[in-house]
Amino acid sequence: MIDRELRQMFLERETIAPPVEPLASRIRTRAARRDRRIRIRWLVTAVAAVVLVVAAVPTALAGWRGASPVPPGDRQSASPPTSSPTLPPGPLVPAPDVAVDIPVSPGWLPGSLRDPTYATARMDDGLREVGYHAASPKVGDVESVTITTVPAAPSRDLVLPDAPGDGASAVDKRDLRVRGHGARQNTWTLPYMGTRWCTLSWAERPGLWIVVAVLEKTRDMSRAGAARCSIGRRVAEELIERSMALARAIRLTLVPAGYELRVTGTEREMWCPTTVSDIMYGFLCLHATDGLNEGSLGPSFGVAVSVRGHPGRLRRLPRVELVVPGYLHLTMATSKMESSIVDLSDEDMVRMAEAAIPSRPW
Amino acid sequence: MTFEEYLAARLPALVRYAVMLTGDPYSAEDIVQDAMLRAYRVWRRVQRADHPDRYVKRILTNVYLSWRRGRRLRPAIPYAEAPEVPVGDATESTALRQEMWARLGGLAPRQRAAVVLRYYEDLPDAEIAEILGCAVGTVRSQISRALETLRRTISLTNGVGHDR
Repeated sequence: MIDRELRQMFLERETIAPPVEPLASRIRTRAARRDRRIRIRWLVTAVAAVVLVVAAVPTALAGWRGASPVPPGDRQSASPPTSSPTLPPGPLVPAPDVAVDIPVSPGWLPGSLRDPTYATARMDDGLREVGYHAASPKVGDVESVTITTVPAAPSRDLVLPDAPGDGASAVDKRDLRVRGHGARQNTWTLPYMGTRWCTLSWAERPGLWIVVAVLEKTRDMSRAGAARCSIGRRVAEELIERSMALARAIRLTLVPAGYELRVTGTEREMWCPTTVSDIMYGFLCLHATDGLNEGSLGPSFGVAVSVRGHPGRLRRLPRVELVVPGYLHLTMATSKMESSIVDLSDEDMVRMAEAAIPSRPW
Repeated sequence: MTFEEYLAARLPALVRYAVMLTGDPYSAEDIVQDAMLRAYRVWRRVQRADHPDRYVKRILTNVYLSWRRGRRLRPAIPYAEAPEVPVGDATESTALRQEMWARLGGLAPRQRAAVVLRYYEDLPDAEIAEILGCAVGTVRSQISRALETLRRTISLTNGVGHDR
């Protein structure tokens, strides 16, 4: 009975699988980008070797290096549109400017981790998270450090996401003091992944709980090894109570009337109708991502549009989707999916896209 | 088979598999993209494997398992519900499957992967064990625990499901 129902359930859910064309295009683009990076790395290595051999021409080398890359700060600090969008009467309204900060900043991080690579902010429960991931960690390296703040005691998902029956070792739980507060330290290993986790959680003050999670690559799967958590404790002890703005992959400045921000960060921005109270109904919301990994789309993907002079495609299935490769990807439910949703015209979709601030300047 | 040929032939099936694992199309796209790029990096090894598809599925499953940890905060975002197919007592059956789909999200990631591999991919336990990188006995115990959890749910809501 349950077997048959499970099989039937899975078959029915096949219809929610997204179309593969945009995904295939993204994969091809990223694969090609990776090939290019490798070729450039080889080229740079070869050039550097030649330059070293011909060390007599240092000025030439300096000249060659003269073309400095764009400072990282420029890439991150996407400038807002030069003028505020003029709004003709319609279903779009200026998005409220919500500050997306995490109330603490790291005072110390392991050497291999410098800039945040991941951030998320949830408006519903006030969760803020910033993650630092190593580019290519080796055995013995710290793979990631994640700092999370929540206004109330953290859920199990934050402090102990793995269960022993889930391929994880037994959990070593200890009570200790961090920054003068009583804290819980959980450590465990995932032998099949070759990783060791340590999470530290404590109440810094009323309304501010902090979780520091450290993931290390290791071959030491012993209980003694798992109990070590010196890096996590140092990150925790040296945290500074100074707020830090979280990176956002994209920021919408025009949104449909009656929508509010629910989730933002480096992954996507999600705005939902105020009538949608449960995030589980996110399919009724507006999703925006930065489109950096979108490849070019063919004529089978809707109609051609131009967004700030960049070519994009817009199509309507049950959902309306606007893709501008390299800049943004908007997708939104329509009244065909939920009758209370007010449909946006193609022009409104383009206007919303033009007013968006992606992670790199248009 | 080149990477491009594989992508053209197998991507739709991999995306569907990922949807069953993650429960939502956005996360499914993310993990398939990540897995395919990892596969691309080791494509020669994939080509040489006895079963390239199983190799890629193992990569995808591992990406899903680690994604559940590293990016555990993204909310599950269900998509539009599938149109229901009227079979038998359609109302009861539909409610049952909707409840099961919701409860599937509460299973431990490896349990869910094992259930998807058996009941969606229809793989024998030995192949599931190979993909999950564990013993056949572990696969059976994972599935058994998962079914027990689902049965409890079903019996609570519908009073059925104890017939296995």
